[in-house]
Amino acid sequence: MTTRGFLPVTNGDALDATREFLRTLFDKQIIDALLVSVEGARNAIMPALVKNPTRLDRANPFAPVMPFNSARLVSMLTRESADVRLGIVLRSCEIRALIELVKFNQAKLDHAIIIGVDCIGTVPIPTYTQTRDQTPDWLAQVFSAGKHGDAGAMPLRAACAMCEQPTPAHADIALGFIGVDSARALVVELRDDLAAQLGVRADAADAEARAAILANLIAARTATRDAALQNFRAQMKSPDGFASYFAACLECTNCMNACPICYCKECFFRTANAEHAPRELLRTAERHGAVTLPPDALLFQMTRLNHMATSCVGCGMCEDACPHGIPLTAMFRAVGARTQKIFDYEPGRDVNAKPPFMEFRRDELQHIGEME
Amino acid sequence: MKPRIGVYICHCGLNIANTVDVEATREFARALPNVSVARNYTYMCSDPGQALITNDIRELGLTHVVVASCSPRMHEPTFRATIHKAGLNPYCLEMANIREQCAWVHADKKFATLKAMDLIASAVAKVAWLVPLQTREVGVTQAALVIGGGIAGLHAALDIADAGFPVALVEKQPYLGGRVAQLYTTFPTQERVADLLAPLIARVTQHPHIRVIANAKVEQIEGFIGNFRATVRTRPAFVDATKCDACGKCVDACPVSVPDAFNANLTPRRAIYRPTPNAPLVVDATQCTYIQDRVCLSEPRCVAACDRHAIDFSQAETVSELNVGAIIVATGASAFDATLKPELGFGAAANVITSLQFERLAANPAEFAKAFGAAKEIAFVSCVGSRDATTGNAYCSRVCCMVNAKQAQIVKQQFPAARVTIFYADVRAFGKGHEEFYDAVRQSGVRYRRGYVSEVYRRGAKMIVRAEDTLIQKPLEVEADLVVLGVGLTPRAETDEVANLLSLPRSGDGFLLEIHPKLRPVETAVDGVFLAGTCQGPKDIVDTIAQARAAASSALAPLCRGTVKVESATSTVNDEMCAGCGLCVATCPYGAPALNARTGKTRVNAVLCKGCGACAAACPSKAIQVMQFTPRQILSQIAVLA
Repeated sequence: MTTRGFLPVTNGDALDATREFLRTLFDKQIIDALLVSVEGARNAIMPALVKNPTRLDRANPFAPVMPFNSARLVSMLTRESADVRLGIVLRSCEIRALIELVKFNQAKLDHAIIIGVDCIGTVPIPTYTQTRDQTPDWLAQVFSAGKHGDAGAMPLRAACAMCEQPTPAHADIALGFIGVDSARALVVELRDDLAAQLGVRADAADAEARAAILANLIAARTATRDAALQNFRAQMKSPDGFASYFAACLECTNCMNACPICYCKECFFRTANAEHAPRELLRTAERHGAVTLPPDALLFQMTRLNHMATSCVGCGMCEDACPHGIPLTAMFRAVGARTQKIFDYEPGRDVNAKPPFMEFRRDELQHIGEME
Repeated sequence: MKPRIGVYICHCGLNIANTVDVEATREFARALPNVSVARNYTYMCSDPGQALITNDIRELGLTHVVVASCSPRMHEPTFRATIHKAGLNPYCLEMANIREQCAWVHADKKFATLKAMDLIASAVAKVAWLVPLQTREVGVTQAALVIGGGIAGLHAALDIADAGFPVALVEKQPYLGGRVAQLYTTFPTQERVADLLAPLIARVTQHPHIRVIANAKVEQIEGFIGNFRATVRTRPAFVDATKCDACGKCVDACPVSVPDAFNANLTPRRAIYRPTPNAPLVVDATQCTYIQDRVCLSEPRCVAACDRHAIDFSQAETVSELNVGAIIVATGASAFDATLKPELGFGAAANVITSLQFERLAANPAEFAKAFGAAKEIAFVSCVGSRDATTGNAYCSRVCCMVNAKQAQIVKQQFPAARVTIFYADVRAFGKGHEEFYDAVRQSGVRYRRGYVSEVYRRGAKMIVRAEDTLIQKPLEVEADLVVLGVGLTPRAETDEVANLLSLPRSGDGFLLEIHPKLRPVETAVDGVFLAGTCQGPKDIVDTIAQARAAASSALAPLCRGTVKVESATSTVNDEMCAGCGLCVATCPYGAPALNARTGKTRVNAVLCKGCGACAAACPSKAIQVMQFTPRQILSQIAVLA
């Protein structure tokens, strides 16, 4: 069971209150280490593994930028069971990716305390780093957008513009600023035992107002998502829709590197197995007149789609990483939505739900062929 | 060393040569990379055909061989043996299927020839990557498990035990004989079933090599051919057979009354009961109100009624582990539930009975006379729940035509004045002596009316059978005092459980599936597990026994040999690549891969692996691969076609 209350903010500085709260987690020995985004040189926001709470003076989980989907880092930190109680500060999409990784044995949550934070959306990294000193500053924009549930003024990443899950689920502690005045307080929802330890009193004030603002935000995001998915599907109607979507793909595999869930030790497409003998390529060129190089770009994308369509949480890291700006988020969300519907599977929803690949149901896939 | 490949193109008489230009194909193959020789021949699988291959291997020093002919399911073993004879590893062979996948399915010779060339080029590209594999053998536990103590299980158990191997015969019911034990006589000879069954059961129970485990259930099966381990849970009888004198006072005292399934629900029975008229008393724990803690509570009335203190509720379930090398599944079938055809009146009217109830009545002369003696008109309806899309059973029950004929004959013999009508769709009298029997029944005065019965309903004291006579194409109604529904056979409700227990596939009709109806009729997809009797599909007693003895003989092969060859083309894991996600573990139907707790990576138990490749397909990085089907091999095959 959980308690819902408030984290008071003094001097109108919600970030400072959050840093203090995170320090308290160390003080009360709820955590021994913390994975959290930290402000670095040159305006960089990067995740850091913090052991000494004094280093939290640079922590900033609200900066509207996401260099990593940190689920990947949690995987790195928890693959082997340790007796360290690791706190991890994550956005909703990061928690959902982490839950998928747990299902594939790539992360363990036995000793983890998940501190989820509301996310009103993030902006591309260059946009953020190049305009750090504008007025109002980014953080003020975030809290203002959060208060009204409208990030329309922010140049959001495509994935964030269609994100309909701005609040974290499955968190042991959830810090919220959407639909509340974060100059006065942040809303906090946490496990009862943690609430008792941290002295958070139950307080349902403003719950309805926050819920209404969230509902509006989610409705707007859902509309954006539906339009994006429809646009993608329209593009796929043409005979070479898929091929032309990836006309600019370099097979650089950046999307794979950025994906929090793509967990292979080594991508098949980077092994000797996927190498082509010159003779084979010449023969193919001879048969068709010419062959596009690199030869496996489409196969690579189809394979990633095949592997990730059911688990994709739509964080959009792949699209950020693409040097040619191929709109990967819309594709993964569109194909994911349909694939997930077939198997009645929602990635990141339930750590005990088996991914479709891991489970056979006698009644599944009764309808093969054209959907809808 | 550069591979030296020989390509052998088979004409298959004219099967291939009619549609594929074999000479042009040979010239094409000869020019492919690494090909040292290419030949074509009328029948490559014939002795002279095979001699071409063995001579070339010896004289030209071939390292790999491609045979372009039929499906590998047909002749792969043949040609593996051929190249092995000439000193090559049997796994350095690739088949190009230019018959089933080319010549047979195409008409245009030009295109068929081009496709045959592609298939051969593809096989040549792959074969160069094939590596020699070692044939592996494992030891066999020389004992068998037979699941099901019906007529099939009894015969199978006897044959294996007679060959000198221990057999465990596990039966769910507290008695042996199964479905057949409920029958009165057999067709077409009208022999008493009891006379057939009693000596058979006696032979089984007295056999020194057979251990009968009745009132029991196989709960778990692990392992693989030659090395299965079965867990069997036996329910106690709660009656000490050494003390019980079968006086029946306990039965009279028991407050429970449930339908007696053995008697086709015609009569009730108690919770303490005789499962068959001759069987010792047992307590049905699922019904006993003492065990279920209801009516009897702390004072079981049967215990109070028993002078000999034979009832012992302290008896507990026992669990035994059996190690066996082969398993025969003989779990039988159910009679079709006639209430699923409500229009035929079963359940609603007492004078509509099933053919199984007829058997139970006939077995008891007094009951039979009471039920049938006064009946002037008796109607039999065939195909109830068989060949009937409305019940989902498209198949023929293979017994109800002859059961109807046999039962009509019994009625006619005992009550010659009765008028007997059989409504039939077609009479299927395909077995030995069946047609003659059918003729005899017809000539004895039984009327056969070809017609689909649409309804059976009550009018006064009579039942009306409404049907369409499909010969004269007119609807007709026949009055009857008694209607007998010839019910078909359906898979037992527990079939799913059995299938899951052993990872056995089922056919569309719900029965357990053999590998091939003609080539491997008693084998299943799981090596070492064989099918006998009606669990595989509807059968009469004759066919059931034949199949049971076939299953026994198939099961005896590994038991006699003492070792079995296991698949060589198994999957292997590259530890460096394995991320330990467990997809392969979840995908494998045979339990071959498992995550190693220490390393977190997959290990494959090669003995369990059937080389099906499900794991390799599931593995995102191809850290797990199947020998003979590695990505390198398959991609080479595809590359020449791209």
